[in-house]
Amino acid sequence: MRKVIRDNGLSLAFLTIFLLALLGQSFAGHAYTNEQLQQHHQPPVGYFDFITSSDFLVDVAENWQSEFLQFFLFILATVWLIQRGSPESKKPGDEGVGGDKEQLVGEHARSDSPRWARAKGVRLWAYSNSLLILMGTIFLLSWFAQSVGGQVVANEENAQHGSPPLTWIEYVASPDFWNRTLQNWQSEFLAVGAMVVFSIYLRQRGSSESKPVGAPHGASSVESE
Amino acid sequence: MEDVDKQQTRVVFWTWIGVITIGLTVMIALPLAGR
Repeated sequence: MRKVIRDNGLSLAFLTIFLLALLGQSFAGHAYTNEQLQQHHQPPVGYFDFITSSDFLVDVAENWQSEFLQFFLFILATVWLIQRGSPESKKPGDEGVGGDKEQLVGEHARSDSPRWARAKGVRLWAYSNSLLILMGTIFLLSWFAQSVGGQVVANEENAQHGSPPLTWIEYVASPDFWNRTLQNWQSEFLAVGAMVVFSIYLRQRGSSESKPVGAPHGASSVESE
Repeated sequence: MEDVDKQQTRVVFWTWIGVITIGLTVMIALPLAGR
């Protein structure tokens, strides 16, 4: 059991704090919603009703979409763009998808390479881009989730104010949808860029996200190994 | 990697896929149902 936890500590730790944070968000969101309802002299909503409401789900979805967009863009950008000296980047001159020999695909696959690395055509293409495809799919689905949840919330407010309901198309063109979207995107892009740049000169001893402490500032992660 | 380690790694991978799939399903289905 101890070995299982040690071998998978990173994923288990993040799964645990994800679930705890989501639980915390649900408690805080429930309390906040009932505060608002009380101020408007309306009856409180139950916990289960709250966590299954679009009010709660849209807040979860808008954060999910931006996180997965961040990784989608970062994975894609690091194929073609370089930041000299960053451990998050390949070294200048290595831009692009790399040759088959370097990528261990096709006839260059090793005996322990994944089966699809030995495949050809569509299967090799799909496996070669599978991480990007999955991250992009989760981004699009959570962005869609944000749009349908946001539409329900916006139309509840419209009904209270006697305004006509918005169609889905009208909602995704509305300021509310883009306000929710872009407030999350800006922070993701800032944090990724900061990580890329700060890690040129700064170190965290022992972290796989950092160059070794004594690695020169000009070296990328590949060069510093 | 030993077989037992491979098995554990697969369980970890599919657990994450499962959590995200459940999350996305709930976040799409309930608003579409008008919740």
